[in-house]
Amino acid sequence: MTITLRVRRSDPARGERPAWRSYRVELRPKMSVLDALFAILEEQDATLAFRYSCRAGMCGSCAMVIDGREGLACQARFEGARRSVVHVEPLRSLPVLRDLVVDMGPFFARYRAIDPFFVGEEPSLGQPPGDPAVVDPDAGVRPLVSRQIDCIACGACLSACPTVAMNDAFLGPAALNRAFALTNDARDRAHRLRREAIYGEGGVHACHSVGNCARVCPAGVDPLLSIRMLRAHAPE
Amino acid sequence: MRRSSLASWLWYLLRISGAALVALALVHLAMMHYAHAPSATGAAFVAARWAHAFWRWFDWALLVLALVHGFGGLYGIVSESMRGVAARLLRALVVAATAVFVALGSAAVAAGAPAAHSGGSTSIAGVLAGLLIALATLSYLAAALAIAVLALRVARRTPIGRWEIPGQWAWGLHRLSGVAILAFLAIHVFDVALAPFAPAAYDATVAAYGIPYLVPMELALVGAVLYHSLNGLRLMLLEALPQRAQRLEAPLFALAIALTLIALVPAALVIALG
Ligand code: HEM
Ligand code: HEM
Ligand code: SF4
Ligand code: FES
Repeated sequence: MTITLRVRRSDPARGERPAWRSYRVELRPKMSVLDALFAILEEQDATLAFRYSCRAGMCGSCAMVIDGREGLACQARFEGARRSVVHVEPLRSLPVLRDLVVDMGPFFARYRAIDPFFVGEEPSLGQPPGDPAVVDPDAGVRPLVSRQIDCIACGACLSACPTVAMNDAFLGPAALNRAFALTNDARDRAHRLRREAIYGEGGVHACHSVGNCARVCPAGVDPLLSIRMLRAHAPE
Repeated sequence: MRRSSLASWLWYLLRISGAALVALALVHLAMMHYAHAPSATGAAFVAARWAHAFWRWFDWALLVLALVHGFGGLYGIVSESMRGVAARLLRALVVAATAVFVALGSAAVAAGAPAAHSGGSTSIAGVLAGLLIALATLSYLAAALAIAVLALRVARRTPIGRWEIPGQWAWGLHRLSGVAILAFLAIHVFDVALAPFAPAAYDATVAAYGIPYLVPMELALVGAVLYHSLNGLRLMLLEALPQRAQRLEAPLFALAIALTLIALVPAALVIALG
């Protein structure tokens, strides 16, 4: 059985505007969209550009828009597909470098705005460091957060969000989700610092609660839940 | 001390004023669209209502809240999607328009019950009826265009993107209905102001609600108020239940649409029979 893959191709550096290009691909068992892109690259068109790394749904490099919805190309299978035509486009709201490859710069710039790393206690001279991780297993924060720390920074949620598409100041789902995850770490010392960004012009109140982010996230994260938790309680 | 952002202020403003508007706007709609036909709300009708201080305070509260909420929403839309001089100009325009409409509407409720049927050039009525017809034409064209674009996408089998997801529709319809109600309200404050100051002109304007061409828009307007209120409540409820929100959001959206459609039936009957 063959399938038609329609790929949104462009080459902004050479002034080529986005256009659909069709390829017929022979289906193999358990073939993923990424496999099909490789088949095109190897057998039909060596100029097709796309990004990948782990091929196991862990690195987030291969996120793209498949049949209108964000997903990981290495995880999307044709099996059981109702349609014989599948559309593949680059992520939205990010500058396209070529074909399916986008510049993730604006995604990570938003991430950086919330200091996406753990900030621990200042070590004092001459004092042996104490136990760094005293989180009571019964504290109750863990079940909520453990799901929200699975983000692989793929950019799917950013692409699916209509607010990000309109508002270039909005920090977006992934960054605000990360801010919430850190907020729940009682050992973190940067809560107050992050509040500036969390409740600023591009923070949680700029979100319109559309919820596309949670629907498309390949890692099962619910960024809107994090945004709502931050709207209900400011981190101390 | 953290500086409060405009985004935070607007977020709270829209929810507090929205919650208060649920009762006011729905009662107003019930009076004008279910208890009476819109075309049967002439100057004498207004005079009878505004003879009671209660309804004047009611109308004034509705006026201020709806204008602050509606223009506040518009201010937010401009702030998030536009930058530079154009954005600053539009924001100033929104603030000025809020002040003008609050003043005009307040003057009308303060003036109160119209005197005997006298005065008022009916040419103002012609202008207002013309504006209503223009608004109706605009909404019909926009609806036709949206349906055509979607139908073309489906026919050519190109993906409809974010519009596959229910939350996207809930948001799109909420924004569309909010802006549409605001556009109608702007004309409405003008025509209600005619009631005390130019009753004859007011009656001529109200008669325009009977024009068949306007009926679909009037129904769409009732639908817009119903949907926008219900979806506003839905958003506030989900905000209070963050951990259950993902499971509840789509069913509650379906419920809002269903209730809107059901409540539209009697409104259509009242217009048809009235
Ligand atoms: C086609 C449907 C509508 C009809 C026929 C209608 C009719 C009326 C009438 C007759 C009045 C005069 C005062 C009174 O009798 O209480 C009035 C006032 C008012 N209406 Fe409506 N209405 C409609 C829809 C709306 C909507 C959707 C809104 C928006 C929220 C609205 C907001 C107001 C306000 C704020 C006033 C007071 C105006 C002022 O003080 O100048 N109305 N309406
Ligand atoms: C009847 C009860 C109402 C409720 C419960 C309500 C609720 C809300 C809420 C919660 C929002 C924020 C949505 C978001 O964050 O995306 C909103 C936005 C808005 N509302 Fe209302 N509203 C009501 C009536 C009205 C009326 C009468 C008007 C028009 C005069 C109006 C115009 C708007 C506009 C223009 C927006 C901005 C839309 C956007 O940013 O997408 N609303 N409303
Ligand atoms: S939250 Fe989900 S969709 Fe967003 S970047 Fe992380 S893994 Fe990707
Ligand atoms: S290639 Fe790593 S997630 Fe698909």
